[in-house]
Amino acid sequence: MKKVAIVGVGQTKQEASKPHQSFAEMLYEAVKAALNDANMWFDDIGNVVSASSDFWDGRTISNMAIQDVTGTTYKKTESKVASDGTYATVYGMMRTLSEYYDTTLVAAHCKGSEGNTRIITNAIFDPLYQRAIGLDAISGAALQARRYMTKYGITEEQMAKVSVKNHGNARNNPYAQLPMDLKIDDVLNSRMISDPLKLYDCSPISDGAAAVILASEDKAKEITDNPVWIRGAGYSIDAFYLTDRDLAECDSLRAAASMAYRMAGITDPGRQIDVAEVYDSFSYQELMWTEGLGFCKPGEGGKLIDSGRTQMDGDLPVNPSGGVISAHTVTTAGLVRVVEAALQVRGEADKRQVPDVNTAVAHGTSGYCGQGNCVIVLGREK
Amino acid sequence: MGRVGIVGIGQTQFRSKREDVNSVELVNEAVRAALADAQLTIKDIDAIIIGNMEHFESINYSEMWTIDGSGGYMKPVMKITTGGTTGSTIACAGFYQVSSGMFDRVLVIGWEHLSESDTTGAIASCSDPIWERSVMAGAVGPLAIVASEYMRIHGTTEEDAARVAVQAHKNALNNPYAHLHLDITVDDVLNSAMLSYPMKLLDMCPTSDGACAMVFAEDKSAREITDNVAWVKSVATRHDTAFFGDGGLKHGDKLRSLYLATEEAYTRAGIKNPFKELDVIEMYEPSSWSALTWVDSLHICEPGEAPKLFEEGVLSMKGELPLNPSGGVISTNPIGATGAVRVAEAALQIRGMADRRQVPDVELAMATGFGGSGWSDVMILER
Amino acid sequence: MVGAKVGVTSGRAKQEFNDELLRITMMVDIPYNFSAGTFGSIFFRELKDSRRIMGIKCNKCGEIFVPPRVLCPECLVELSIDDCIEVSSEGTVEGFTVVNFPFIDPNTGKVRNYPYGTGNIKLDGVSNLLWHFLKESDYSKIHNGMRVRAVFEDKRVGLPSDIRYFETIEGEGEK
Repeated sequence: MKKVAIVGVGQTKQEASKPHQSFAEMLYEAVKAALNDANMWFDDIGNVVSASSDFWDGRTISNMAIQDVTGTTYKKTESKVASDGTYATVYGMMRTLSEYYDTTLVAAHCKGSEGNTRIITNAIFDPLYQRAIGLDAISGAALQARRYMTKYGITEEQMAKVSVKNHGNARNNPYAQLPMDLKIDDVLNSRMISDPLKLYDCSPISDGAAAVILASEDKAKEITDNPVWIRGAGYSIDAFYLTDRDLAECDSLRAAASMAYRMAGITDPGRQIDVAEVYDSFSYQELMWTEGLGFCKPGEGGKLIDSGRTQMDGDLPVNPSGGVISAHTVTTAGLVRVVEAALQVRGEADKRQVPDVNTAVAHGTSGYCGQGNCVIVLGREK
Repeated sequence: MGRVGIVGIGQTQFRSKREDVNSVELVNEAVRAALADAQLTIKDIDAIIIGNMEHFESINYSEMWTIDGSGGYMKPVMKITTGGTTGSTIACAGFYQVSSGMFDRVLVIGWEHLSESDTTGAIASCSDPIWERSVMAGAVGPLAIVASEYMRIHGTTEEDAARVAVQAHKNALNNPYAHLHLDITVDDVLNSAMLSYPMKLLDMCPTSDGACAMVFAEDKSAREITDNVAWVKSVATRHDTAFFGDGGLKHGDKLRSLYLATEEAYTRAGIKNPFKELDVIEMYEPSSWSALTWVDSLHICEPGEAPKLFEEGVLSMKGELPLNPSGGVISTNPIGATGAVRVAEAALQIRGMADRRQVPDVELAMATGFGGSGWSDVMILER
Repeated sequence: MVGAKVGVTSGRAKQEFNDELLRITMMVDIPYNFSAGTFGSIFFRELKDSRRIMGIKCNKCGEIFVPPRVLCPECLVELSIDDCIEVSSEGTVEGFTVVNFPFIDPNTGKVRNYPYGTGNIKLDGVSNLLWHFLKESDYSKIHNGMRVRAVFEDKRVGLPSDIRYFETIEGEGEK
């Protein structure tokens, strides 16, 4: 099978609110950055895949707003993946592989500041049986965190370490919303949001946009000397009802990773992957996702953070950007992981650069408690 | 890039209210039918694409909720939505995903349980919230505005439009899945309630509950499954600018995106004379008036000739180029499924499985989708 | 996995269980606060403060669009706030309808008042159309090509409804 490369990336700073920009203006900032990065303009783009959400945007057909600023208008085709930007990246890759288009612009946007997070995430739950209980993204995650702690003996301190590490890493990332110099006690003593999740265990809700330009093998070589190859991609989805799952496990992430690794020829992810950008909406999730990505055995996410391997100076840094816990733009956060992983592979991640990155993983999630997961393996070589 | 074909088709009964099922069960009904048609089980499916418009049922991440109905448990599932074009978009996505070489067999599912909310209000919310929402009146309003321009440009009459509705409803009588089975006359249409001048009740599509699923397979896999494959010859999509007032529904003379998308699809398929070469068309016509403008956009007649084609029976079941043997969108409109139904019906025609609505000897069929700010999908199928 | 157990056919289920089928009604208000953005804010500020309708002139193709936006929708050239210009508040109807049915207005959650006239208005000198309300709601009196002018609210708040509607310019006939 032929491969597809990332030839341009762009992102806006993720902020608590961006009142000076409409959806279109905000996304244009990211698209323009990606086009400039690839030294291309709209005429050079074959087609567009976007990611956004009707619920978050408060609009049926949320992608209608972005037709002009993605250069689509009546001249091109655009299609919206109503999910995280990692899925849009994979769909963009598939459209490029279909040979119908030799370049694809992938674009994601969201403004968490303009909707009501509690109502919107309550609407993820089953309308007949679950919504009236009042579950939302945070209380659902709290159930998962508790189950994970109970099953595997994960401690609040281990969860806090993720928050300390990632907010610390965010200090090196000018696009992150919450760079912070935290200590473990700061996390442990922060306000209880939904037991056992405390304020600094939780991500903020952000405004932002990101864009990635994909190209076919032949086209990529024309565009850049420094292509980032999509070596593998996979996605999968778990059962819907929280009560149908063992919430301490991330089976769909294991399935997604296994699909991506098979495609990329990765057999020992803990050693073959140099850096990972994962979708840590909550501190405990990074521990779970490192298990699901095969960096350690099930239940050993706590030990992994204790070992220091996932720190910036470890041998497998996780979330050098500060991760989602430092900036969480829904539907866009996964695409930001792709952008960050691509920058790592290119060696252009500035102060947050991990040395000698050959292979990077970007992870996105959709739904609540990691029901759906998407994994993308990027590399310097095909 | 190898060939991609449709090997399984499933539709639910389309009704104004499917109170006998919840949305998960509705999806499952179509999935079971498609798998049965292909003689496959869910284990044979590599990936799933699902499309539905969230605000119509008020379900955020509906691909998650419907997992037990779609059969997507522990499979790659992707939700793709583009408004009215959702159903045709997921069909195109099925084609792209199989073409990519990532998957051999992809199940696509479009569904809508429109009776669960106020459809017109939900459609009105597709307009820009600040600029256009206060004047938007569902799909009816903007389509009526286009109709008024078509009338001005071509001197079209309300009878011309009524004839289109009569033909659609007549065809629907042959389609057991169709939502509306109405044996009506031109006078019935003309005397029906004025919704939004010049659009009358019987000019406009209904809102329906229902789902449609299809299995797309790559060349070898498809031939192993059945010797009766509807092969995809080409696909094309065109969107339009962000505001309604900029372009998409600005022109009464033609639907710009459909004009451009059919042109691209014909070119990719090597079709030079679509009127002669196509055997049947399943076109997404949300209203009788839209059908006139849309037909004018297919490169099968001169501008303004659509009313004549309908009047002379050229597009009827016995005509040279039958349009919407299924009864079209005017008889059935479960929004997230509607475009998929067009593709499914075109594929049934290719496979000779359209029963009483079958057009004889179909070698080449075209399906279209419509949505957004005047967007179009086109898929051309061959035997 | 419940899916395997519930694929009942509609007809049978309906007959057997019709009296027992339940609907659960939920009314959910979802509040949003949308940013008009940099260009939109210019439009609304001028509308509110000065009863002026602002458009933007593409510095490449010269076409004028309402409302102002960051990219020319035709040539995709980036525009700046300096490209914003006042446009005419008079124009021609190019497409209209009279909405004559009830539906829930997503802006308010209430049924919108009807009938009302609405149409695409081509403001003089502008390339695209502005979709707005017409004062006239008798469709026998509206026609495409009709000349109209904007009527502004006395008390304006910075919303499209600051233009109350477009009224017919008597005696100007068609254009």
